[in-house]
Amino acid sequence: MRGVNLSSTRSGTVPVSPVVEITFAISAVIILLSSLAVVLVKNPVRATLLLIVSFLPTSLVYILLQAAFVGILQILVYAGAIMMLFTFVIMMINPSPKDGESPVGGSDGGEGAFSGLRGALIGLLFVGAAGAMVLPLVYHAASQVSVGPVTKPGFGGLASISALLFEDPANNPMTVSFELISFLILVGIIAALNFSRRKGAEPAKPDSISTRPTEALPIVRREPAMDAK
Amino acid sequence: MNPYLLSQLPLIGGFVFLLVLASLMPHRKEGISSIIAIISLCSTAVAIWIFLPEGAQYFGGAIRVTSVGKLVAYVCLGLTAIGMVLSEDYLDKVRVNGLDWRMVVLALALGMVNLSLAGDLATLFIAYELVSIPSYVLAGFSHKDPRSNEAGMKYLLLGVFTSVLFLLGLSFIYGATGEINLLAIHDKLARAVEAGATADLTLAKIGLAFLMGAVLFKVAVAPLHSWLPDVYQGTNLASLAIISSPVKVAVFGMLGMLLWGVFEPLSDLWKPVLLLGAALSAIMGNLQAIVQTNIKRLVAYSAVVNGGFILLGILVNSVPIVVFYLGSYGIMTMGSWAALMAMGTRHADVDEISDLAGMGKTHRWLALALTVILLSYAGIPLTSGFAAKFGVVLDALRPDAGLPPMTLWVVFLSVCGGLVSFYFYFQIIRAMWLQSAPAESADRRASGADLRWNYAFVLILSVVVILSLGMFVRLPGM
Repeated sequence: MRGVNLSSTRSGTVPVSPVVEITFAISAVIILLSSLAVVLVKNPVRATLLLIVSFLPTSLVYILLQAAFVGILQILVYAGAIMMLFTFVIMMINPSPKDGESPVGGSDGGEGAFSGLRGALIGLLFVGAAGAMVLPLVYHAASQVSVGPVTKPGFGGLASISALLFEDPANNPMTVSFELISFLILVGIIAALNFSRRKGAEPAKPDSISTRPTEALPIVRREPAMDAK
Repeated sequence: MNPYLLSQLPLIGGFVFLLVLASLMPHRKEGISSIIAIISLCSTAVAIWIFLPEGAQYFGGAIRVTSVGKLVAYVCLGLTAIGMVLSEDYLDKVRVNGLDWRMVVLALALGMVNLSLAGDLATLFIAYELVSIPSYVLAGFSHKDPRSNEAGMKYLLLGVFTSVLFLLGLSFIYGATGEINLLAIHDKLARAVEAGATADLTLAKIGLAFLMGAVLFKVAVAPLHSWLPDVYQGTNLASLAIISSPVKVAVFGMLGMLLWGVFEPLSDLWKPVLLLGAALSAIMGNLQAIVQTNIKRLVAYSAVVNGGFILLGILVNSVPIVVFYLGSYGIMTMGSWAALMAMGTRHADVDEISDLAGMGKTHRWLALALTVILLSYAGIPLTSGFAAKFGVVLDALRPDAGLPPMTLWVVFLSVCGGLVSFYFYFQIIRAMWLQSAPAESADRRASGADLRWNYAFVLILSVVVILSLGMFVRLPGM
C-alpha cells in the first residue's frame, strides 16, 4: 500500500536519461575496481595514485546527483590538495622496498603475487557475498521511494550550499555541526603534533638532570684554572 | 546570548585556555591544567542545569534538550572530571604530555554533551565523531609503547569502520524520510507504520540495521566485542578510565535515546536484536572472562557482560534504571582503575592477576576498596551493582512490559551468567587476600606507604558512592 509516502516532499517520477545511467554504471565500476586495487597493490605510491583515480568518477557521481559544487570540491580538495600531500609525504619518507620488490612500481614476487591473488579472491568473495545480501534489498527499497526532479533553481551550486550552511545562523541546524567540526580538526592537529614528537624532544626526568655529565664537567675544569691564577 | 552556547562556554573556554597555555609555556608543570579542566567540566554540568530547560530547542532543532539527555550529560561530565583527577600523576609516569591529553579529553567531553543533546542527524554524527576520534587518540596516546600503538590502531580501524556504517545508516534513514530532524523522522515513521506502508519502511529499516550494527559494535556487545580486550590491554590506565567509563555511558545513552525517541515505531525490528545482544553477551562475556589472567582483559569482558544488562534495561525502557546502571557502572570502573593505578610503581602497572597476590597484607585499605568494587561488579547485595542488576531484572519481569516472548529466558540467562561471573571476580579477591606475594612481581607493585591523594580520593569516592547507591537509593518500581 502506497498511501503514505515517507518522502512526501518529493513526488512524481521522471524518466532518467540513458546517458546518465550509462555514465553512472561506468563510474561505479571504475570506483569499485580502483578502490579494490588501492588495498591490494603493495606499492604505496601506486596505491595513492589509484586512490586519486577512484576520486574522479566519484566526483562524476556527485555531478550526476546535481551536486556540482561538491563534485568539483571533491577534485579540488581531495584529489588535488590532500592526495598531493599524501603522495608528497610517501615519497619523502620513501618506504624501503621489501624483498623482491623494486622501489617504484616493481612487480610482486612469486610469493607476493600468490598472496595478492589470494587476497584479491578473498576480498572479492567477501564483497560479493555482502553485496549479494544487501544490494537487492537496498535496490528494492530505493525503487519504492519516488524521486522527482529538483525544482529549486541553483540547487547544488555554491550559492545554495552557502545559504544552507550560513543563512540565519541562530536558527540554522548546520551551525552547531559546523562549529563542532572545528573542534574535531583541532583534536586531529593536537594528536598529530603529539604523535610526531620524537624521543629526544620530551623533557628530561627531574632526577636525571642533576646527574648529567655535561653539568658536572665545568666544575671539574674550573678548579685547576683558578689554582694557576 | 543563546542559552545553548552559554552552557557550552565553560568547556570551550577551558579548551582554549589550555591551548593558549600549551603554546605559551609548553614545559610547565601541568598541575594547573588539570585544575582548569576539572573546573570547566564541573561548571559545564552546572551551566547545563541552569541554562537548558527541558524540551527547549536551539538552532532550528539541531539541539534538543531532553531530561534523559541532561542526565546522561551530567553522568558523563562527572565521570570525566573523576578521570581527570585520576590522571594527575599517572600521565607523568607513562610519559604522556598532560596538556595535550587534557585538551583531547575536553574535546571528547564536548562531543559527549552534544551527543546527548543532539536533535538532528548532522549534529548526531558530528558529535559521534567528536566522541570517537578523541577516543582513538587517547587509546594510542603513549605512542612509544608498542602495545599502545596496537591498541590505538585497532581501535581506529574498527572505529572508522563503525563510523562508516553509522553514516550509511543515517543516510538511508534520510533517504527514506527526507528529514534530518529526529522528531520529524519519528513522526514520519510513526505515520507510515500507522498507515501500514510496509514497502515505504524498508529503506528506513535497512538504515536502522546499519545504525544498530555500528552502535552495538562501538559499545562492544557480543558477538561484536572481540576487539575490546585488546584495546583495553594496550591503553594506558588514565586514557582507559575515560574510554571505558564516560564514553561508554554516552554511547549507551545515545543508543537508548535513539531507539526510544526516534525509532520507537520500528520497535518490532530492534527489540529482538537487543535481546540477542544481551543473551550473547551474557554467554560469551562470562565464559571468555573465566580463562583470563590479565586484569585489564578481565575488566573488558566484564564490560561486555554489563553491556548486555544495559541492553536489557534499554529494552524495557526504564530510563531511571538505565541511567542508574550507567552511573553505577561508570563509577565502579573508575574505582577499579584507580586501585590498579595506586598498586603500580613509578615504572610499571600491575598487569596479571598474580601480581595482586598478597595485596591484602601489604596494602590493606587498597585491597579492601578493590574488593568492594569487585563485589559490586559481581552484583553482591548492598552494592550499587546489585541494585542496578536487580532493577533491570525486576523491570524486565513486569507482566505489562509488552516484551518479546523470549525475554524471560534471556533474563534467566543473564542472571545465570552473573553467577558464573562470581568465579572470575573472586579469583582476584582470592589472590589479594589468600595468597602470599610472589617475589618476581615486586618491581611492579608500589610499596604500601606512597598512596597518592588523588587515587585515594577517587577510591574513597567510588566506594562511598557504590555503597550508598546500593543501600539507600530506592528506584521507582523496586
